[in-house]
Amino acid sequence: MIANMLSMANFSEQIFGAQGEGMSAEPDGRRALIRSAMPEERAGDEDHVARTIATDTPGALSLRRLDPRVSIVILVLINATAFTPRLVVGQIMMVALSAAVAVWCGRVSSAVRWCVAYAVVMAAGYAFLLFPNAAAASFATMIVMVRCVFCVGMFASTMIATTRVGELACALQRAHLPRHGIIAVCVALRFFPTMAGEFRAVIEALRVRGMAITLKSIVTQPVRVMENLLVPVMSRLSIVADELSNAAVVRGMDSSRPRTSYYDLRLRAADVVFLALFAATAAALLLSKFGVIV
Amino acid sequence: MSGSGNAIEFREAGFSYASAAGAASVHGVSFAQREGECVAVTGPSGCGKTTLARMVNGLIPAVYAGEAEGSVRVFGRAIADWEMDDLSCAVGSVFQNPRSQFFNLDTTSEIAFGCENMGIPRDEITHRIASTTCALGIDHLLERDIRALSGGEKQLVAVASVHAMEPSAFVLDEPTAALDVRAMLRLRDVVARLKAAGKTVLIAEHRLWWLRGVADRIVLMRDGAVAAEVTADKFAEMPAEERRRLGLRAWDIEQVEPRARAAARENLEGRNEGAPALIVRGLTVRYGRSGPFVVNDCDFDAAAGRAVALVGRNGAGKTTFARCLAGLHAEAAGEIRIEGEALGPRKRAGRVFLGMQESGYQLFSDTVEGELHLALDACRAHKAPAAGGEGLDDVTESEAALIKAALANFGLEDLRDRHPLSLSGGQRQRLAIAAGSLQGSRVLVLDEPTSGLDLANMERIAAEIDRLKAAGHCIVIITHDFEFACATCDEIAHFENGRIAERFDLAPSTVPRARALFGFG
Repeated sequence: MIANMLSMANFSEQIFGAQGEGMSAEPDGRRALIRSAMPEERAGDEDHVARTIATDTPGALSLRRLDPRVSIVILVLINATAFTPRLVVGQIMMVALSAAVAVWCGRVSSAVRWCVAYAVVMAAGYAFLLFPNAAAASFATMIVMVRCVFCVGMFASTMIATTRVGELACALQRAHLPRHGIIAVCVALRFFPTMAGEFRAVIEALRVRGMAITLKSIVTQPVRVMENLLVPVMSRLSIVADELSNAAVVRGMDSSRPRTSYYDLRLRAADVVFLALFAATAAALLLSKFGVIV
Repeated sequence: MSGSGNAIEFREAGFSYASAAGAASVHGVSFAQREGECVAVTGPSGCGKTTLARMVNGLIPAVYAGEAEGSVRVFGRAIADWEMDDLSCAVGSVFQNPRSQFFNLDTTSEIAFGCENMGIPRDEITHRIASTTCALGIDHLLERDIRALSGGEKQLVAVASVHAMEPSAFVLDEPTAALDVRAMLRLRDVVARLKAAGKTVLIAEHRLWWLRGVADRIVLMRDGAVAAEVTADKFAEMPAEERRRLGLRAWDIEQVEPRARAAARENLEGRNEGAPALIVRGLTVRYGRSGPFVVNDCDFDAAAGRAVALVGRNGAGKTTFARCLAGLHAEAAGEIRIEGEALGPRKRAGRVFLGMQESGYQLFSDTVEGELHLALDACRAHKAPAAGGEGLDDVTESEAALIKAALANFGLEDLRDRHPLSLSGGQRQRLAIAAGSLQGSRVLVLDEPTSGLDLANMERIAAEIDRLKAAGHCIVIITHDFEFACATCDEIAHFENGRIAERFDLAPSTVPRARALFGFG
């Protein structure tokens, strides 16, 4: 009974009943997924206390997220179709879908911000077209470029914010990546936010010491500024790296045993729906690029 | 692993590191810890506590190279005969810094991580996460973003992530260095639960009071050797003087009293009356334009020559308040006057010194002496940007004298040519405060200056603050360290709901209230 309490994957196991282990992204698995339960439907279940408490505490994780494999495929699709500007509707569709994913994951304000930004970029693009001269044209080109890669950034931000490291590791394991590669991805994901934090701390420390980095100091003493910034960050990071590697040893990161995963990835209805929508849009865009659709 | 017998046994064990840097070496250590027993290893900084912990959890010899002597046996088997994987599953390790022992960004994945690496089947991992959170009473910490947790919560997740690997013994290396009193009490509860479940717990630690009631025995170390080994009851009987002579922190917080400084206070009374160095009026601080108010209409004065301890719960906004004072965070409303002059956030940066918890961030030179030169440069830059040229020899001469005096005052003379980052935690903290005082900041705000420090270093910092007070500096200290507050602070200010809720002089009569505010009882 206790075992059921925690794992979302475990719960879906109950729903699927006879479903076999490790369903892959193959289309034949989809039929059962239509019945997949949304997390909030389980909220009433007393066994899931831990999960429901978490929603209104700070730092709670979003309950809904796409399967990391689906996220990766969608990201590839968006990338593949990024430079097919002939079908503006298709591009808008991609942005709308990315926004829908963000909203579905509970990141409403982020979705709104990205959409507003996209509208601004669009408007700016058309505004430059009103002034047909060389300078405006180069700006317009730049804006078109931004518009093309916009959706990549938008979807990636949702993916990074909602995907669990553990789930990503599980997905990579299924893809038979070597153990060290998987661990490297996990640690890298964790290390980048740490690094950003270290830089921020050092910049603040410089201000406290009366040696704030200003435009003037960057121009007049660039080497000094770099040294003041990089030396403490590097030394801090090397300490963190040492401590992390100690923790890694005692947590069995170098173990020779085959790695398992707590997460059991299963495609759910939302995964399939979003994947299908993105795939359809991508197909339309690609067909238009090769002139099949005009 | 039979029912009784020794879980951990040192026989004339010793280790010296191959590289000079790092922890202290130990020699001729002999003691045994029974299964289910909780032993605290303590002693001044550099006594070899951490080395001892590493000898048990296998980091020596797996990570650290060096010369080993004698033998260490864990559950009857010599360390050398253990496979690292098996040892990791038998002995769980929790480290000092909660920030640098995580590999995931969410708590559930983190607790599962060790099990995943050990190849434990998924159903079993699910079961273990459930039983771990249940055993430690931390259901509410599941499914959270680790970065949003407090230091205390992070440390509990660290214990849980080790617990899920189901070790029979736990090694905790200074687990409370970054924790406040309430978090330490919470950790004590967790250690008690581990003990109740029959786990063996070895704790290397400076701060001792929280171990009262859970530790069965205390092993005192000194200069890399065991100086004494006493039961907790015997240790409790040890007179305070004897304990201090051994360089140990307080065991019973009830016995900690503010140091009598009546005479010193009388001296200052006349000079500073009516001249607060720091005046805060109606200060309001929030994150973003629509975030909640972290500091809300706060009034606060601090007189020159006095030290105020700012206490309050984790997340009450003390650190935000301090960052705002130091100009790192702009206020939404209100005014901050330094020595009578109202200053905006940009002007405050550099005028109000903020001593950060990680003092390593704040040091930028390649020698200790150079660090103090940098401070004087910064002082000159903000004092007289236009003046210069005349009397340059005078300036350099007086500067040399100032630096010499500072080195002597802060006990850094012998270290003047060392690289600041090669110093110990206590020395670094002292150097940062010395630089702050030379920088011409009248107001020094220190955020947890004694975290992770032993008695000697804590007292040195207290002495340093007394000297700064005598020189007319105004000191505001955010601290969870009651011993430290008693050693140097004149006043207690309780920060709650974004403002100062209560404020009083720290005197024998107000000590019970101060204790309560720190989170005891």
